[in-house]
Amino acid sequence: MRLSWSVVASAVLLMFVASVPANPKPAKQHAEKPSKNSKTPIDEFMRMSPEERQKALNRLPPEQRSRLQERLRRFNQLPSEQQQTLRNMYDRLNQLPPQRQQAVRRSMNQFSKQTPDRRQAMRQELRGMAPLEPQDREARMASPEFREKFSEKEQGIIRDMADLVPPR
Amino acid sequence: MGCPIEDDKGDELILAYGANTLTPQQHIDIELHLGTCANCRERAEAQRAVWTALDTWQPTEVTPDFDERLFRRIANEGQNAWWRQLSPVNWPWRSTLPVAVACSALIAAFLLKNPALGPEVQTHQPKLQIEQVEHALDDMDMLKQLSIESAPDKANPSEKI
Repeated sequence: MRLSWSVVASAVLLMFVASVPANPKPAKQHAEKPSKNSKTPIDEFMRMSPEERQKALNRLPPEQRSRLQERLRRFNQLPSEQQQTLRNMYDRLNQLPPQRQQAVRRSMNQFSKQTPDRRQAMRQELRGMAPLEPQDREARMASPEFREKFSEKEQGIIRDMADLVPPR
Repeated sequence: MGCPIEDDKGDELILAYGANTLTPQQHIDIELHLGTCANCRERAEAQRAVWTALDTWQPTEVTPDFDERLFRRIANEGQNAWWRQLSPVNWPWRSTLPVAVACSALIAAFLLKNPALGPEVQTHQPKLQIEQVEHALDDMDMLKQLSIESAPDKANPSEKI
């Protein structure tokens, strides 16, 4: 009887262990909570050894190489808080389906072409949306005030870019 | 009386005659028949010889400590079984076996779920392409324009990375 109980216990243990994922991949970050330890290609590059980094850079033409080195230097000089914000938004962008990513990139491109005051107005709107739940964001974007304040193009830009704004 | 050998119950009758369990009338009848039937007489004599031998047999007297010695011997046989002699220590099998079974199941499951601990498996992760870094910087540049989490006066969204 004791033996049969042990067999049952073993079977239960086996099932429990079998139910645990083999190589537990880090759960895909939910769009609402981007990881503090995001792993962008920039971070991966910076984690490489100096030799490996140089080897990778040497594959680029000299001019392109020095331009990239300069961009990396500028990124690393950003305040750590801003770096983390950019990493979070980058993560959110890359978690979107490819087609949606393209749409968001197009909108960001459109955004850069707007006048500074309109960009600032859109930034302000996105900042106001940050603490809102998805359904409240939708309600805001459907409101007459929103529609009056922004052109259709701007509304589209804000709608696309809202996907990148983490709720606070 | 007919010959019992030819009857279905003939053997039983002769056995009962040898055991002296027949009724007086049956006893008389069979003795009369034995006087005339050689076959039946021969069987009856063989039967009688068996009973005589049994009467003279004296069973060996059992010693008073017979049971005790028997049980001790059974216990010793169990201890000296070949599969016990294989083990250097007298393991309490009944209690350790369930634990061993459970541990084996766990180890098997662990190895199954972590094949890297078994035969070496090389996972080929694609090396980081330098173009990926450039694209990430492009994305970061675009994202930097938003700067919605930084104070607008502190952050400089227009400055490219």
